[in-house]
Amino acid sequence: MTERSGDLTRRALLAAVGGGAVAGGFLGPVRGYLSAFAPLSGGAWDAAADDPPVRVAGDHGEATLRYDDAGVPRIEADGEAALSFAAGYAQGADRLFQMDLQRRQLRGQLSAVVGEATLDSDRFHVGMDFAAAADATWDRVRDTDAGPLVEAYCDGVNRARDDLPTPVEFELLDYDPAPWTPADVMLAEKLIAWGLTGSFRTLRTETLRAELGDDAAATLLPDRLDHDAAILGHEGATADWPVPSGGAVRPPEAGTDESSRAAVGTDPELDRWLSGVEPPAWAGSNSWAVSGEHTASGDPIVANDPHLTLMAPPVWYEQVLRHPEYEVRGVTFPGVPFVVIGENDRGAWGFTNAGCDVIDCYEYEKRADGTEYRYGDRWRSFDVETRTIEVADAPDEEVTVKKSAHGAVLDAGAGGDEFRTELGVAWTGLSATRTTNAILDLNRSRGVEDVDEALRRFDEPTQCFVYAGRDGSVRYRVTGKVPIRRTDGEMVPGTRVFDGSAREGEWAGYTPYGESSWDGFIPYEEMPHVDDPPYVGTANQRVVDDVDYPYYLAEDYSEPFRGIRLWERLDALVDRGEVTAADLRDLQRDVHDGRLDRFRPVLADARSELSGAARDDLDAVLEWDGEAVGSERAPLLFVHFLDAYEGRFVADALGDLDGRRDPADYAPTQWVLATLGDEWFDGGRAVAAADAFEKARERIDAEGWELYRDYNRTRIDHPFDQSFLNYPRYPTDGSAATLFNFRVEAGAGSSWRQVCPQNDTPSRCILPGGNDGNPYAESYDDQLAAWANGEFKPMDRAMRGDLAVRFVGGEEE
Amino acid sequence: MTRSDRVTRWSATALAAVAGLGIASLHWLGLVAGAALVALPQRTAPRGVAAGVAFGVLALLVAAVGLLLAGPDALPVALEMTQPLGVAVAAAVLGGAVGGLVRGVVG
Repeated sequence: MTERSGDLTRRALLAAVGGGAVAGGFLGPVRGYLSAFAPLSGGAWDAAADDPPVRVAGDHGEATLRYDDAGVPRIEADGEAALSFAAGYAQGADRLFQMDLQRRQLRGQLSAVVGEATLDSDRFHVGMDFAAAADATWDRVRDTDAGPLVEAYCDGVNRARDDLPTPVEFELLDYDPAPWTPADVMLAEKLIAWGLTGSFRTLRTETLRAELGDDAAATLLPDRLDHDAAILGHEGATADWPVPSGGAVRPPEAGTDESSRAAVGTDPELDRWLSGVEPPAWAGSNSWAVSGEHTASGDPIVANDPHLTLMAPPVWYEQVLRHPEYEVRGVTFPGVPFVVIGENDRGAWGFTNAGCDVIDCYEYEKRADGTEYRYGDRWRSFDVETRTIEVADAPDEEVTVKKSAHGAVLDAGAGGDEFRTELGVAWTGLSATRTTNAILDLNRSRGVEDVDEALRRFDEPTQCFVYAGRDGSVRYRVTGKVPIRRTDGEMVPGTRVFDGSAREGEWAGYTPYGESSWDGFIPYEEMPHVDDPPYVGTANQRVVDDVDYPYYLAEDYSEPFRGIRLWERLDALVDRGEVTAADLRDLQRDVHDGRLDRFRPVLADARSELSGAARDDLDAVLEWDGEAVGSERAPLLFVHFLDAYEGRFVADALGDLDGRRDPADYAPTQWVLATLGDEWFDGGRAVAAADAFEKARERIDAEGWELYRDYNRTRIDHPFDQSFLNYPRYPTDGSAATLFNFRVEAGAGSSWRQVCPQNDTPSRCILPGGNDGNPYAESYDDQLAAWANGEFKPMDRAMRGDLAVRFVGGEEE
Repeated sequence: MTRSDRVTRWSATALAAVAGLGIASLHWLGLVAGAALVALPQRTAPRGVAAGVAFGVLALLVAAVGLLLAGPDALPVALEMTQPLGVAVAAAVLGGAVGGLVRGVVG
């Protein structure tokens, strides 16, 4: 080889290496990684500098957007469309990925970006066809005064999507978000409504009845819990509520309906599927209001803290909107224009879950290979459509969307044996709803009359609404449409699966995926409510005693630990008099765990079975005052004892359920668990309790925990569970049963706290995290430490902070 | 261009680095192109590769400064992003080395 040819060969080789490396960069997954993460050009780094342009031209009029020190947008405009456009811009800038992920969840499109792990969820959400319900809802809202504002909001979201760097999560998943649409706004409403009212408890009760018998089912899953802490009827507070005569025939008590057919268990596969996609049963909240009659200022005070999933970024987005006719501050769900919980210049409001039963299941007699079902004296074809679920890194999946007269029809593709394998599902949210209008009207409200009127359109979800106004008014009302079920013209409770073919449990006037009338629902005037009570407290406990109310309202309610404590503390505060906002903030920080008293007999039983250090530990729990504070060891022992005791009960009492089921899904509430006697445990209750206490100690030792704060720490994570996206950990107080609510294992708790006095004292609030969803931003998690400490920040509505964006152009309204 | 002239070489390298950073901020291929540009004025092929790698490191430093300017939390967060950060470092160093090979190709 000559020197020249050798040189040429060397050059060719270098060129081949270089060219090959560059070509490799363009091929396969490497290209995506390079586009996302290469220094300087990678989209993942661009998101660090997401400051919006100082001037944005649009079609909706002038507005200004400022951010305060906590990343809360403060928006001012003379026109509501401009206000909505700017709110959309701010939310699109701060929370676009979260909005898109939630939209994908409800549309059944998660697998397209996440892969096979979310297929069960997608199959369910496509099967329920929440998207069609959102379309029907937008059809109803479009021509109201909310319609143009929703459209302006979507324009704002999409302008931010165009103007600003794509959030880092999109780079990680390597896709771009589609434009935000008005139907997506409605879908956000469906998401929260389903999260608060979607429940397949009826199926679990029927399965338990079929497997263990009526008595066992009634004991383990009773319709009502024995306490005296109902929201309405409380002496001195809500005793004067207007009990409706209703002119209605009182329905038979739940569980005593003589016409009930024998219970049939649900197919384990169908049950597993629905349990996996069902919203958690713990979604709850606290709210209370004290009228001026009992406050130091003479003006009412209202407080609210909704308990939802704690996640990064938070479930709520805080915003301030100022219009010449009203100014409002509070939180909304990302993807929704208006303030859902908060206050305006005339009053403040909050919501807790009411727990009303707005869902029913039906089964059918079928023929023609299951394509037709009998409906009364006629045969109908199911409305059937094939849809495709896109799956990342796997073949697409074809699913059948099936509908009946009642709504969605779900089946898990399970083979039939003695179990029910297919179910029709009716849910009020499958119908067009006007909650968007109600929320807008609350934002605009100029007094309690406006509030009363707004709530008429609050179709979903069923909530306990609490309001206090600057005019001294206080309101409590259960919102939402609650169906009246009728079989052969008689009212029946919704506590079992109905024979849809026999037209049992029909809801008159209900049109799934269309517009329903009020005909088949509890009349608005007769929904539980009380105007201007001296004080009121709600914590998801029973709304009203059944004997006082002429309609079937709910299948069950939450455990009353918080409700009992709330009445106890409110009664004491009112008795003392001169209640202040600081008192009510202290009440939000109350950490008394009422489960201790309930379980004291169980713990006392265990004492005789324990000795040595274990008995000393048990004595410490028995002597504990029930305050779930981080500096104590007793709450650490107690909460782990509860877990172990429930596990022991499930193993002993529910182990005989069909082996294909997860018996833990059928466990009773802790309120019930505390009362179950020897017959439910192998070897008796004392032995089981002692064994559970030992197990609790073992776990605590194995984990190296000494005090409650070693275990009770925030674990608030991003859906991607990456360290740079997850929130830092902080110790906190409280438990699942305390007013200061924190459920460490479930990753849930007070998702927002507000206390709003209706005088010139500033309201105060806090978020569990930060308002900005950009992990590079200071406001990503800047409120979390204060939240964990039970602190608050000011909740003023001033237009302060540096001007971030001036919106110009378009017609003024 | 006279590679033996130190001033000229350094001037050309600096100019190439600025142009390369500009291209690299538009597309990841700019890391390779920028490295090639800074490699060309170097006296030998191995020095060209070294200059390419140095350009990649420079791109990383400039990106870090950009993050520092974006906000006080941006750089610490980026440094926590283990896998993306690994891709960024690998892209800069390997892209720089590959670009630097151009010096050996053009002679």
